[in-house]
Amino acid sequence: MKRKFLIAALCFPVVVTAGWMWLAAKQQTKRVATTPAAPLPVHPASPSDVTGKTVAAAQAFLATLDDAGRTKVSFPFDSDQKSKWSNFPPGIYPRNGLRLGDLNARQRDAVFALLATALSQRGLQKVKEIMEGDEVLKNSEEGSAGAPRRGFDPQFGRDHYYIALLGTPSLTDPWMIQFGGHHLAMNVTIVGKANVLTPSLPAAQPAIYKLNSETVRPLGRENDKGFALINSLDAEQQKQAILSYQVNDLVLGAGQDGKMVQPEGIKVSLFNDAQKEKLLDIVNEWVGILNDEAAGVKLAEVKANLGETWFAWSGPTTNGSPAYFRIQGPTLWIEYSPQRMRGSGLDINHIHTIYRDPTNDYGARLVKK
Amino acid sequence: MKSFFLLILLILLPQSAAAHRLDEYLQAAQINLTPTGVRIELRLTPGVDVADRIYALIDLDRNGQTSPAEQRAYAQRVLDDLALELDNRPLPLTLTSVAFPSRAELKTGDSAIILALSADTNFSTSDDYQLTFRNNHLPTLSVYNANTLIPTALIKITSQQRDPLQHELTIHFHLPSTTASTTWPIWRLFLWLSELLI
Repeated sequence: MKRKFLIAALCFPVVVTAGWMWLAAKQQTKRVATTPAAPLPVHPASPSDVTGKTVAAAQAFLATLDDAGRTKVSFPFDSDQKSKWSNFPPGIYPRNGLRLGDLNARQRDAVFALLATALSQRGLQKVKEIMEGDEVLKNSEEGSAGAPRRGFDPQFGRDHYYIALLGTPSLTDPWMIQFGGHHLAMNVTIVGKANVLTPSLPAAQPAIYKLNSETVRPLGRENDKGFALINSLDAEQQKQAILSYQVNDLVLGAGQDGKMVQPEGIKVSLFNDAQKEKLLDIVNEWVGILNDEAAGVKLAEVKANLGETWFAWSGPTTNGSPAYFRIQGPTLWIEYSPQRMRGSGLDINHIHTIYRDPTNDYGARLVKK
Repeated sequence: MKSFFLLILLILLPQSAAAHRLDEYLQAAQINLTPTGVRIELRLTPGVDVADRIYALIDLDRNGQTSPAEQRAYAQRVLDDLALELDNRPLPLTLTSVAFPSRAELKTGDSAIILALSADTNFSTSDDYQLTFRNNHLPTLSVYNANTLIPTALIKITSQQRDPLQHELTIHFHLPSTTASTTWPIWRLFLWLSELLI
């Protein structure tokens, strides 16, 4: 009897421990693998800083709407509207919020005044160039072998971009501006002084077009700076940076929130100072879409993490060729991905890109309880 | 000068292709390694030009709808075209869930058939592992992406290799002994205690 009791007493903690570890392992399989990050402190904004000006611009936009318009454009901050964005045109992936084509001139001006405050000057320029490119695409699609001939309207063109506001514009509480349509998703989360642009998806088709006799390349600097960096690497560095396989699409595009893949390519710690500067200059093409005040903070964070950042390239190294690249750091994920065109393989005239922060998409670290 | 001519050529080219996926079938696999096995999400997105061909493979009775049985049959067909090997030995994959969009959704070039697959096995801390995932489903129609999600801290990936078209991904990994957590040493301890006492 005593012996049985001894066996039971000794086995009990073993069984409990085994059970606990089995449960822990099971939990591990459910958890999405991303970098755990501590919450960030929230500093209240003031009316004179960029958040204050953006709040004022958002309120001015809301004041141009009637009650029905305000209801249509407004969503709770914690709603699933947050992740409802896409690179696809609204005819394929319907958007919520207010459509630019349904707004009058005053309301449209107020939308662009809001974007002009939340974004940098060149960020807004990029947004407009992407939208104008879609207008070019619409005009070239009509009457061609494109989708409209099949009785289906994908809704291309500058009228088919949507704005939504999540939460109430505030100097202290979290809120968000969502602006997008075909080839464009801008998600600006604002929590006190902090402004966050991730996740966002700037893309372009055509990636090169003429407007008023000027050549426009909405993502041209990103392309050219990428090629400049890969060609600044020596043979050994290129050997590490260049992936041995073709990348056919964004790995973590729309609908892939909360995921992060194993880093590949070359560690930026192996770059010399000039190469590091080139890389930061590329990163700034995405980071710098946001207003200068917030972009400066983000770029400093990226710079501090350069030792743990990776650069990967797939494709030829001659500018003018379709090539994919990726920059991945503890708080950064950027992909530049030429897309396939009918019968022609990857094409430099159709580009998708994505900008994420695996720790702070939608300001996750700022709203963490 | 070369760049200038390239720019001119691109501007003159007709922008004829629609902006969504067109004439290929994108098959994107995400592999998640866990201490108790391998989980794979396979997203199959047909382009607008090939959607009808893919749909015909699913809608076997041609009634314009896919029944659960037809969906399962197609998922099994995909599964038969996949291979997973651990240290060069087959590791059987099981379908854990399937999600099929409607025919109309599938024809947009946006919607994906999503298959969740798993293979259970317990990895021990003492070994180095080589896992190979191979996708040979409809190769003449398809383009492939295969990626490994960052695993938990219990697993360390040491290298990855792919073929140029990403049909095949090989992952080398181990479980660092400092983070030992597998259950079998606990059971060894249990057996040892039993032997000692009985």
